[in-house]
Amino acid sequence: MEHECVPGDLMRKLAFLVILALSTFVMAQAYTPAYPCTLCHADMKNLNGNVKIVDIHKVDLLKGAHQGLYCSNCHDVNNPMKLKNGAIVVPKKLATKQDLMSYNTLCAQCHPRTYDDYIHLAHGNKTFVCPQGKTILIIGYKGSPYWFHQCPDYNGHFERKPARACVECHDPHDPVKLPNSIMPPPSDRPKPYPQPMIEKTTIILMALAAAVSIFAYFKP
Amino acid sequence: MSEKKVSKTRRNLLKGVAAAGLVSVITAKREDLMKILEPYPKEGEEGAFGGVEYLEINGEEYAIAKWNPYRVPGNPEQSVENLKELAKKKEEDAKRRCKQSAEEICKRLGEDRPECKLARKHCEEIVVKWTLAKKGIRWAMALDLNKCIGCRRCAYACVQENNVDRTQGIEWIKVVNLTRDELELLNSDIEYTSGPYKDRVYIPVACNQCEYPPCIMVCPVRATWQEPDGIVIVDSYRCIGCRYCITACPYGARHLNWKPVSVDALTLNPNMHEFGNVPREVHTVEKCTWCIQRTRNGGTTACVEICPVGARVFGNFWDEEGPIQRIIKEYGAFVLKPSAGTKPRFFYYFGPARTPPLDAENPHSSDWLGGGKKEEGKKGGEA
Repeated sequence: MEHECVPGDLMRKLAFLVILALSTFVMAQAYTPAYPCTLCHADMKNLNGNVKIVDIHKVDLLKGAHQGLYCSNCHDVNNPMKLKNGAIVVPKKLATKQDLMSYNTLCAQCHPRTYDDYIHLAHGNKTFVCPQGKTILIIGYKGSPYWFHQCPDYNGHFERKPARACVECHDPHDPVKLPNSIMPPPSDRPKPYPQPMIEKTTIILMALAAAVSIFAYFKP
Repeated sequence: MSEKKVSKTRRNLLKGVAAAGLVSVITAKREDLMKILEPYPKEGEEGAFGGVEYLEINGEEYAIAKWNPYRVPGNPEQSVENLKELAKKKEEDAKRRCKQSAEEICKRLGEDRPECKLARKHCEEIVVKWTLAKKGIRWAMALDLNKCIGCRRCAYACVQENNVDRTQGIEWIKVVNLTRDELELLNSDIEYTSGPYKDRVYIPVACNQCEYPPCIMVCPVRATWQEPDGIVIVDSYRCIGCRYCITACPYGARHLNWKPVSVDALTLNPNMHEFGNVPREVHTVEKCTWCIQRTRNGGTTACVEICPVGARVFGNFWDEEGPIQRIIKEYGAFVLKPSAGTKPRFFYYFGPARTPPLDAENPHSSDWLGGGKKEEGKKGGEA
């Protein structure tokens, strides 16, 4: 029995070390170095929910828009994989659309007005769905990329169903959306004529008009 | 004596007129009085300026504006065929112009280059639609000025989606940068290069698709009219380039092609509508059509789709559960130049949350705007 137990423990420790190493090097998956959470948190009953900083998950609730919250405001204390609305945490890369949509009601607990807007398509109204069509990427006007649609018929606009989940645009641990870069001003606008030129041409034109009218007056 | 009599009769007459007026005001129905004030159809009775004719195609109800010059009165089949014929003509024309450009590209770069093949493929993909407006729809757009960061992505997307000439500096959407404490047009700037800043508001201005469009009333050849779903369109085959409509528009939404419109086969949008983004003729007026080639088939406009902060909202104005009514009821909205009497259907509003500007002290915090104010308030409380 003992003989069997030792390699299991070793494996667990090894896995933990590997995950630690991965979590320090792989910054792309900052919040979820390993999935499922039970890999590290085998016994989740000892965890404390009233935590503000979790270094290993790169979560710092001392700053940002969610600075007033603790982990336990959204995550279950005994099982951080479980959220307060019953949904289960899945990393963004592995999650399906349904998983992402299941977190919406959690956000709605504190943001009911925004959620109402979202349901009415007044918040993040990107409801484009084109099942049979295709999109073509084009490098067009001043090098800016753009996707052309080739759709016989669009779907979704009349269905009144939001196309994107909250967490697709807002990071759940730092939800403020920073502004994107400003595109350069469209420089092909024609410049106005310089003021002295306008004055000169008006004087010349008026003189010409006067000459023509005098000529017309004396001719008959 | 006579003078007194005259004055008496006059006074009696005036009394009688006043009494009659009072009686008519009391007895008249409120709806009738409102009709005098607002001759345009009210909610639910959608319609274009000048009237609408309904027709049925495959069990679905569509509408044609009475001002549509391709409409044959009382003969919807014929008018649909006219529109189809026009779409066919415009498709042939667009393909011809696209092929010219493709051959130029092939000559310049060589036949074996992928660009050459791509350009030719694009020309074959061109489809010009003639989709009619559906019954019961009046499009409207709303824009959250608190969210807008003035990044001009909508202007760029608009140029690419609608095949606007790149060489003439025409943009259907212009982003105006105003001071935040007073929206004064004198301090505006459209050539800014950095932003967003705390004390500025960014207002993208395009065609407002008014309920009473002054631009269509001045057209001498009826080349521009309002569609039943509210979109004001220009037919470049009929336009003579007199520019009356440019003068009539209070929003500067119309633009004239001074040069022949250059068609680049590589960047041409093949998804076209006959009154929308089909390549225009020289010396014709063009304007925003709310991406008629997308919205008529159930999509959203290009500017709504590309907006990185979700400031724009597009939907049916009459839809009680729709986004536009939600915004008007929840946040209230204002329009540009209400005194012009055009009743725009492009609503601006200041939403609940603001995108953090560049000069925010701590953009990741939710209280970056009230940081200074909070301290002041604390001091005031202590004193």
